This record gives sequence, C-alpha cells and structure tokens, in this order.
Amino acid sequence: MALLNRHARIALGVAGTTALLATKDGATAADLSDFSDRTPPPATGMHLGAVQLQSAGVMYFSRDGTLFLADPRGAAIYAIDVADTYRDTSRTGVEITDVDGKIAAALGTTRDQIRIVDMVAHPLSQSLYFSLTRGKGNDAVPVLVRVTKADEKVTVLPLENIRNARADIPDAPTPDAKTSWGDSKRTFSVTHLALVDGELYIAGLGNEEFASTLRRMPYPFVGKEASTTVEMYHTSHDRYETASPIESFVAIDLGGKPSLVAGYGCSPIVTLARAELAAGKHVRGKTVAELGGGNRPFDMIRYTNAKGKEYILVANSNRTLTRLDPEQLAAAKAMTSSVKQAWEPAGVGYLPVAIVGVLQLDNYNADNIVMLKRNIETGSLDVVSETMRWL
Amino acid sequence: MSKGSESFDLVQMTPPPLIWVALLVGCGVASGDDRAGPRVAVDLTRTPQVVEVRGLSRATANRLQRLAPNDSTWLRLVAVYVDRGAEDSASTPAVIGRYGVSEGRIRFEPRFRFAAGVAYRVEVDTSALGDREPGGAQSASLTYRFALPAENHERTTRVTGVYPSVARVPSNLLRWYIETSAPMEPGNALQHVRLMDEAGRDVPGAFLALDEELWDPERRRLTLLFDPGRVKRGVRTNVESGAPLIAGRRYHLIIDDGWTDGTGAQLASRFDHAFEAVEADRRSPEPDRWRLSLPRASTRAALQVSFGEPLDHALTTRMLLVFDPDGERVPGAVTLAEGDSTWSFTPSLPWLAGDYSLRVGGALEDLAGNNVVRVFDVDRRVDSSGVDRDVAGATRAVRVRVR
Repeated sequence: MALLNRHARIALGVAGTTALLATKDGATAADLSDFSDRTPPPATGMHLGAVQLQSAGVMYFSRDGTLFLADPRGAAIYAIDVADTYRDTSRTGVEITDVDGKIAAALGTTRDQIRIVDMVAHPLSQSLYFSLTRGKGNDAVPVLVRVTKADEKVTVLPLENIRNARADIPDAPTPDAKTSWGDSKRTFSVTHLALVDGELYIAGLGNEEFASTLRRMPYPFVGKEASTTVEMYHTSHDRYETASPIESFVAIDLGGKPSLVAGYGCSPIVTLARAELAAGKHVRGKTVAELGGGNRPFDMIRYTNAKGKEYILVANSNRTLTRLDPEQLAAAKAMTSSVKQAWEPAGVGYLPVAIVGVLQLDNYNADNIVMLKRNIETGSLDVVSETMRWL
Repeated sequence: MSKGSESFDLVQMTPPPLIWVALLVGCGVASGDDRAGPRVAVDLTRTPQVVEVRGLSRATANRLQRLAPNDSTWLRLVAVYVDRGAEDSASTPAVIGRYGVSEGRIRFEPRFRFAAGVAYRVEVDTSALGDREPGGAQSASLTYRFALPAENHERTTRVTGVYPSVARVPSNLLRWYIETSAPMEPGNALQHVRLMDEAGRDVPGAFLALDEELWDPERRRLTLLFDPGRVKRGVRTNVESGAPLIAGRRYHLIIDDGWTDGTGAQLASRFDHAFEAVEADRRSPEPDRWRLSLPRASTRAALQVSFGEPLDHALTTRMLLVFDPDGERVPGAVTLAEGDSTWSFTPSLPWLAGDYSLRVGGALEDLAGNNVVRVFDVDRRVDSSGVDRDVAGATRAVRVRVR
C-alpha cells in the first residue's frame, strides 16, 4: 500500500492488454492508490472470439484495464480486453446528466426500455462502462457500452468479436443443467465481483437454497479445479449465527491483515480475514457495524484521500453515501447489543456524506470518485464525480 | 441543423408486409427520379433494417463511398435520432449503426432493430452532402420522421401457482416461488406482489429487494425472499419492525394483474393466495423421522416419503436421490403431494429385493430455510450443532429396505 502511495503506477497499455508498468515520481498520495488491490493480471488465456452473453451482470476493472464481467444466466465470468487505448491522466471529474436517456437514444430506444445493471470506470482512459439490458421481456438483449468522458460518445462493445477469456462460475447452475426429473430451474445471481490477490471473488445468491457462498477462482483462468467455494456465515449480537447473501464487499488490509469488509442485504457490515478463506470451506465473519434498518449496501469502494488516509465508502438504498474508517473497523469487537429504536445505527460509527441517491460507485482518477446517481429533484439518472479532497 | 422540410410516417408492420416507405422531400411528389434531390426511405421489414438516402448525385455517391462504415463524418451528413420531443438536446446522441453507399444511395443499418412504440427522426444535411434540393435555396437540411406502432399483445399469461401452497405456513417462512404460464418481464415484481394482513393492510417491506430478481432460466418462476433481516432472530430489522408474519394471523399474497409478461402484456387475472401463519419453525428437517412407505420387490410401486411437514418446493424436487444396493443411482420420476410434505418416487424399472438408500442433500430446506445440517439462524448459546459443518457437501442417507 505505502509503496503504491508513494509511487503511483501508471499503466501504459496497447489495446488495453499488453500493459507496461512505469512509475511516476512525484505523484501525490492519492494517486491511483485505490486501484492497488487491482493487481494487473498477465494478459494470457485470451483469444479473439465472440462473447455470447446470456445476461449482462456486474463488472470490475483491473488496473490494466481488463474488464471482468459476470454473466449470471450463462453461469460464466468473462475477462475482456476492451481495447480502450485512450489515456487520460487528467484530474477533473466527469459529469453526464441523463446518462440512461443518452445511452438509450444511442441504442435506438427510450430510457424505459433499458435497464442499467452496473457502471465501472476504466482506470486509464477514464471512460465509463455500463452493463445493461436493451429491450424488455422476450426481446431483452444484454449489451455493454462505453461512454467517453470528454465528449460523452456512446459506443457498443463489439462482443461478437473481442479478445476475451471465459470461465465457468464454480458450482453455479448452468443453463443447460438437467435434473433427473427435467430442466433445472436453478439460477445464480452475482451481486459483486472483484479481483483480489490474483483471484476473482464472486459473491451472489441462488434462487433455491439460501446459502451464502463466496466463490474464488484464480485469474488468468486455469480451470475449475483451482476454484473454491466458501460458505459464509456471520453473527448477530454475538449470539445468532446465520447465512446471508453478500450484497457488496471490498478487499482491504485491516490492522495489517488482508481482509474483506462485506455489506449484507439486511444491513450489517461484517469483517473477516482473507487467510480464513484460504483455510476453510466454512468461514464466520464478525459483525462490527449496522448502518441502520431498512437499508441495502448497493456498492462499496475504498480510497485514499489527499491526506493519505484510507476510507471505505458505501452507497446505500436508504441512507446517504456513508464513509467508514477501516482503522475503526479493524479495532472493533463483534457487536453484542441491540438497538433501542428503529433505524438506529450501531457498532462502528460512520460519516453520513451529504450525497443521496447513489446507485453505483467506483474509483475514478487521482482526485475523484465517480457515482451513478439518481437526482432526487429532477429524477434524472446522472454520472457525477466527487473530489476526494473533502471525503 | 436548421429544419428544412419535414415529413412523418407511422410505419405499419402488420400485413400486408411493407416493402418500401419512400418519401420525396421538397418536391411534393414521390418519384423514383434520383435527380429530384435527396430523400429518405426506410425499410423496417428486412434484417438488417435500413434507412436510405436516395437521390444523390453520382459525384456525391462516389465521394462518400470512400468513408468507412463508422467514420464520424457520416454523423454530420445523415443521422438517425430517437425523437425525444421536449427532452431532446444537442447532447442527445444519434442512433448507433453502420453507414455505407450502395447503388448510389446512403445506407444506414442500426446496430439494434428499431423498437416498437419509439419515434425516430432522420436528419440529412443536404448542403454538406453537396446535393442541395432543387429550388430549396434556404433549406440546408431535411428531416424525416417514422415510428413503429406499439405492439399490443393479448393478456393470456396467468399465475399458475405459488409455493408453499399449503394454507398454514411457519411465521418465519423464508420464501415464495411464484409460477406463471409464460415467461415474465423481470425487474418490477415488487411493484406487483404484495402481502396483505387480515385487515386488508399492506405489510410494508416484507420482501427482500434485489438488483437482479431471482428467476429460473425460462423466467416462469420467481423466487421471492422475505427480508432475511426481518425473519432472523436478533437482527436489527427483526427487532425494530418485527417479523413480516405473526403466528396466529391470516394473510393474503396478492399478485396484481398489472404485472407484465415477456411480451409486455399484463397478466390475464389477479392472483390471491390466502394463508395463515403458525408458530415459527426452528428445527432442521430430520430424515430419520420421516415415514417411508416401502414398495414391494418386482413392482414399480412408488417409494413414498412423508416428511411430517412441507419442505421447500424446489429443493425437495431435486435433493432426494435413490441409490440401489450397489450404490448406483436409480432412475425414475418424482412427484410432490400434500403441499410438498410427501415425496413419491416411481422407478423406471421394477425394484429388486435389497437395501436401497435415499440420499438427502445437506442443503435441503424446510419452509423456514432450516436445512438438514443446521437451522436458519443458530442460537449459539443454546445449540451450535451443525455450526461448523459444511452444508453443500453433506448428505444424509436413509435406508430403504425392499422385500
């Protein structure tokens, strides 16, 4: 971390894959440190061919601009070379109002006929990538689009012919799976995806058993054998232990230990050491905070502000953007007490950042984070940035 | 671009099939005469669909032929827009597609098919083309509008059933399965499925909202989870808001007919499922206590297993397997009955005398999400059995003695 803070690395890529790494002396502490867990994977195992998506799910960019995309219906993860050769080292934010209306218009349809699933920022070009569905019901088609920062140019990624590598999601139901009594109805939804220490971590939930399973697969993809699944549990009030699907997570060092901070649909914030994931198939996380009832943690990122202090940001369904301090999370004991009134937060406290309506979050450039945000006054869906100076 | 001349077509997709909708702009009379100046024509019946600019001079056509299909110059000459009316602005992007020149005409093929119910606008900069309309000295552009009529489909899709189908469910019920007769439109289930108490009031926030709804591959079965935070013991939303279901009370699961199917049509009818909540279930299914009705050797009679409680509809269908005395999987057909509390297995071939085994997957759940290995929310002060055991890999075997 510290090394990366002092010598922020800039990846200079050719077609986004053959990335060379160089150091940029004199960069500030904030420079790209937020991508430090996004280890540049070697560009191996990719081939030019079609990505035959059955659904467009959540995404993640590694530092070198390799896009990881979940296809939950196809029970697959794709690593895609998006061939985004533009390089933007500027420190300004990005603002795109009515982004869903504009993407829909470029796709020849109207806003109500597209559904955006995820938005991520390319770490080198500062373009934004959206996974979405065009059309509804039987006519729905999964699409990936890029929207550039400078001129809001919308491009459809040529999935019919693009450099990619595909891997099956371990232990996920496949579309052609049969039971002995007929077609399987099992499916798996991916809620969050990230590259951590050279492995893809895949969180999600199934439509049948209520397990909470974290799937891990090495990247570059080397086959199913190397993948593992871990059953995840967490405690409430240090008494009840339960499974629950992880909604979003972030990989971070807590007290020097490589850890995960995970947000669950029923609002607890849970920490666990990544070493435990390697050791067992059954891992118990520690509940250290409750953001308050009636809320879902949509998305999470970590970043380092201008003073070199690291934080976690959480986008919520029914809270403002909230900031958590990893040092406090690291020092916290498991929560043991109950709250006294509805919606009361508990455990490790948070800073309620005065930004509401955030649906997606990502690191953006040296000075900014980027958000997909619903404007609560106009109803417009906008891309907005926030400088980390004040965060 | 200044508005030169405008025209509008509502393109009919219904029979007779449309061949070409061509409109002469500026001269008032439709004609095949290419010297009449540029005009726009669309053909939406073929694949790919195409928007053409006809009536170009040979010199212009030759010049444009050199442009690549995605050259940004094209957008300055001919652009197709979704007509957003008052929402249109200079930053509204043009529809993405490929350009080319063929038989002296500019051809635009959209990347995705033009959508029903959407209005489109074609803008052609005739001066930039170098093919200004005859006599139209001040007119540098022409605008052409077309639209595909919205499709109306008949309302034929119905909810065919919900599971659990029994009239009494534990108050810590974890999920519903809602099955329909045809594929549905995903993404807005929670606007159309609600829980109503006996006084006719909605139970708010009963179900877990998810970015991606849990559909089966055919989109004919939705899994709807109760908010686990409200079902779980000790968890904050359970403490604050209480469980969505209270033992001893009656409820209705209501699916309104505004829910749309995969064609965009609403459901043919509303669905109302009445049930009563009873005492919470905090025990794992116990295969050792199931009652087996054993078949006789040399028959194809069903092996019947009575669980003594309804189990999860989907998991019960696939998590019980029969193995023969040699350890080979026995092929056959499964039916569930009595509200998913009885499982029957009819083998494809007659039973042989010997000890078969019924293998039960550890992840088999009851209605409250308690699986065979551990209960849904373990109270570690009282009972931590199964807490450190792997659920997915675990199986329980029950002996099935056939005589």
